[in-house]
Amino acid sequence: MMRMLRGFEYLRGDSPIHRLDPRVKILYSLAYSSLCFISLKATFLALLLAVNIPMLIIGRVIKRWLDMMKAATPFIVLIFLFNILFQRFSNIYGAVAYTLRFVIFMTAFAVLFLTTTPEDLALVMVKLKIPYQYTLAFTMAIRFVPTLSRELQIIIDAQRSRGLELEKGNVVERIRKYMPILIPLIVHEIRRSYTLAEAMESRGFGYTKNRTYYYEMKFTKKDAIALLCTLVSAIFLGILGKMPLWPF
Amino acid sequence: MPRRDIIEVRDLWYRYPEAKEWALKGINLTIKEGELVAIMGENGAGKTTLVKHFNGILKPHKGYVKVCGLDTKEHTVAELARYVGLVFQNPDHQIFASTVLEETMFALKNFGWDLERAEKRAKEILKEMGLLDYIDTSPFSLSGGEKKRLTIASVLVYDPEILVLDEPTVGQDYGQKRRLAKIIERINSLGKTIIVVTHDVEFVAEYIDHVIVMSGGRIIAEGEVTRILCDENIMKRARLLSPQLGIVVKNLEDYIDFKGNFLRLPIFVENLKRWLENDENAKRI
Repeated sequence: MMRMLRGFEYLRGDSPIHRLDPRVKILYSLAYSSLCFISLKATFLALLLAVNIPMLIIGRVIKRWLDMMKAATPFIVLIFLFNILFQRFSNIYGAVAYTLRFVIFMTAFAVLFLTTTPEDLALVMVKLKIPYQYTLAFTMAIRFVPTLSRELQIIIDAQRSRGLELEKGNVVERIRKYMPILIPLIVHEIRRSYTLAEAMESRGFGYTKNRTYYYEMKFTKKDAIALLCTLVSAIFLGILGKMPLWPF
Repeated sequence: MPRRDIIEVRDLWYRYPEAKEWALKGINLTIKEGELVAIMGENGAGKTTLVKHFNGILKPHKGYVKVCGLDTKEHTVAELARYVGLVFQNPDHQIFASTVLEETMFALKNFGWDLERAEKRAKEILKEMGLLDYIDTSPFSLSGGEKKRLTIASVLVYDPEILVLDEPTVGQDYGQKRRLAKIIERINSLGKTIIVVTHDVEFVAEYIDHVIVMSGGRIIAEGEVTRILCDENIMKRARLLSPQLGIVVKNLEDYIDFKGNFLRLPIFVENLKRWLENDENAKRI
């Protein structure tokens, strides 16, 4: 689970996709993630996925997408098996279709999250008139995912060093064994949030209502072209998906 | 009586998952029973990574680590923890119980001791650590120094053969450091092996005789504290600063022949006195 979450983590990079206005990328992700819900034809969904791949290649994040898919493999297999087992009327293509939906959904958002800095996303939220406190909470949540997972590992190591065996015991015992790990983690994080709040206040956070931003978003000609391409291709694919062209 | 090798590391290579660079590059190391050793080096030199191999939290990619004759690859952390007590740097990463007594008894419960015996043993060790008055208080309300001692107590309680302390002096005032040193010396005098991971040069100079220096995932020097800490080359490579007495001795080298562990103040003063008591030397001044 942690590995899959970390798969979405932004790592610094540069490509035409990285430089696009984040609003265009958000629209792209929303459009393509909703496109996968208009049809349950496996062939159409495969086409949808295929359209996304070039974006990952241009964005130079195809390798990270593959890593992410590798981490998500247990879920993918699970979705596939559940559909085969518990869907009365579905055949193998139905199961493939549901699995593809999940993959496309993740891929569409991977294009956004793997190529967009959390700061860029925050700017979009500010533009949407979301109060800055919430925007900041969002960016900080993203910022602290790797820190948290690192700390979790240290705590697990520390308690194992004192003889804690997480692998042994029945379900109830195992859950109880997680207390020595969760308590230090939560206490530590609450303490950190106080320290962080103090540090921010001492640097004047919240001093004025109208804060300014170091980075400004500019909607350029390239962004306009990308937006147009996204809209046209999405509408085209939408109509295509509704047509009775798809064999299975 | 020849002492047996209690920790044996042979050609140990280790790389963290997702990392490109090896964190440990061919470590060879032998630590004898009852030794008191410091592992020094800058941040990221691989000190903590190395000691995490001693109780099997990390397993070598190449080479092997043997602790009390057990190959760490073939034993679980819980098994090895009985021999090696590892005290982590930050007490906040392990404190969880509602009372100091419970925190101390945690390992004993994991090892399956019965409650009565565990409580007796925990009280014994808390008394030694000067924490007996806090038995029923919450460990979260203790001061930094007390928390440190609590974490050491929670490991010493099951009497491991080897005690590993990761950066024990960070954030501790002088009084706490002296207290720590006393604890270390006393446990060592009972024949236990102690490994202190630190970059606190003054602490090592004052209390520890044998030093291992790491840099960039390798051991670059090992030996007597006076030789290592006064060797400009080694210290430079490890990005450490010689202790103050070491620098003084270096500057007086041409006049005075220091003997013994001159990095300890009493021995240093004795050397100086001996030199001054010699009439010829007195005349030269």
